[in-house]
Amino acid sequence: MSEAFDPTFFDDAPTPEARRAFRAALEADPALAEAYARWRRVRAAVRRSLDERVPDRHALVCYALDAQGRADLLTAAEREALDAARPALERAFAAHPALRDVVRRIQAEADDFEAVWAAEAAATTPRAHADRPSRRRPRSPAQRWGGRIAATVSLVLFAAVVTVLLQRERGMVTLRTAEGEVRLVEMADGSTARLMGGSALTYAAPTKGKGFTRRARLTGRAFFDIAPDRRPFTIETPTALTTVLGTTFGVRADDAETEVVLVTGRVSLASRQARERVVVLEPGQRSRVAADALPTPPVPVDLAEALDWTGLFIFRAAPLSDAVARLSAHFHVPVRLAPELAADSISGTFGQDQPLEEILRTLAATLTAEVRPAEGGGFVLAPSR
Amino acid sequence: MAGSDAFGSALVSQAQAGDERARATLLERLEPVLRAFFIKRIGVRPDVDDLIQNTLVRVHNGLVDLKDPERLKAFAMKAALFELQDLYRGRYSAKERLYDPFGPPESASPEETGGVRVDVERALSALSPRARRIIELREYGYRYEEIAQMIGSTEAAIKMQVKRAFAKMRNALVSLVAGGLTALLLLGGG
Repeated sequence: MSEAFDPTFFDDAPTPEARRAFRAALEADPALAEAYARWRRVRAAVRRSLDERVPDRHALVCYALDAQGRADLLTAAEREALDAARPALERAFAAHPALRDVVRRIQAEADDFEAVWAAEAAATTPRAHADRPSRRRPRSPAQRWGGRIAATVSLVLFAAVVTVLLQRERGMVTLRTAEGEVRLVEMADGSTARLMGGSALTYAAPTKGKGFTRRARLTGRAFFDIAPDRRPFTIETPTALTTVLGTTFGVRADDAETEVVLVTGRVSLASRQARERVVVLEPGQRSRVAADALPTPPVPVDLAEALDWTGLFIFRAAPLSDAVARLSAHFHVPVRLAPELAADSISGTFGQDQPLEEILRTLAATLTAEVRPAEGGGFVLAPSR
Repeated sequence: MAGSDAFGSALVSQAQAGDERARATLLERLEPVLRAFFIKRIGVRPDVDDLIQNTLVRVHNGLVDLKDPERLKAFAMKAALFELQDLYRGRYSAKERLYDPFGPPESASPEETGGVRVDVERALSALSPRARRIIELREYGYRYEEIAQMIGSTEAAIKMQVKRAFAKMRNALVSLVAGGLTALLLLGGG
């Protein structure tokens, strides 16, 4: 076996150099490449088997707590669900012995939680009490809630946001776009929203010396790039609350439904009416919230397709061949991919109004490749000579 | 218990009754507990903020259904443990695509492997119990350093074991080919 790839091949996050070296080793040794492809299939099959046998990992948590003598931590509903899941879990343990290690780890996590709870709660309590009176801001009559705003505040997700919300509507600005118009909205914290035609976005205007309110209200369609921050950013739509820290995602909302498609980071999505159920989206997933309904379970989507309405090409770990095919179809220009690059993946966001050649050159730069005019028209993307 | 001061049932009850100030206080006090817990479990990583946020969302949303205010700790603990499980599950899905020199991972669905389903049990049976354990934990979503903690080893030793597992599976494949066995298909799907 080639030694070139060995140590780094199995890293959690190999460096670009290690990846290049490994790729070169595979190209130089077809038998190794074949073995590696099979290895990946076996691994993927293991993953799928685990997912099929333990579809609800929360049940595994309940199992671990119960097995540890902590059944009293479970609710009646959780005990009932655990009893129902137990036969399947036992079969899963038999098929995948390492799940016993997972159970032990969960139990260790529970032990740690107990320890941290005792230590941290004891340490923070006196300070929390002492600080509280001086830290709270007096509320003016103008800041008191009424009617509609009071209904909204009951849905507030975080303590930090509660305080911020008291100033809501004061210092907020609303931007509306005409049909067909696209505006890039830059907010004071560095977050941006690409507001599509026929939409309205209400957000905090920049204020002198005060923290930016990480909250916005949307009707219509917008693609958000939220700047990372400890404080969550919440997007209100008629049917949902979308809460994030720092991430990029698209939102389409009208009175009947909100659709969220996540590109990077993580997003929590909840119905405005049913607060007890939150759906967490992973990159590449979509969920919808209809009026008076829970968020739909996240489903994987083709980001470029699902977010085509943004006027952007959004590629995240997308096969290069797919990305090139999409560009080629959009611009009606043939683009050929050299076989050496066929297995590459790319990530990037481009405006659909950018010239094709410019986009290809940017892609090429990240791939150590180059763009050449093709005989008979179009372009060829090939490794640099 | 120390927590009874910071998270007393009176405060929890007020928060459940819709007192926004009590709710804010409760979540504010939970935040450092969760932060310390998640840092202890996964280290200082960007994921910690997401985990805290999502756990607070769970607590916030479930508060109204909490029948016994004294059980806030149990409730918060489960929320935090659930979040860790969700983190492990989602951990490699996006990253591996970026790191893997061959692009997106195989789905291994029968449709995408030419109608031949990979026989996991057969493939894994070529490995030692320890190597099998490591591969399963890896695919469950743990990092190598976490797997090392779980089975009492070092990260370097774990990687070496994975390297050996790869070689062993590769050799097993070669011997199957030499024997002309159709089981090759079960291992590789194609």
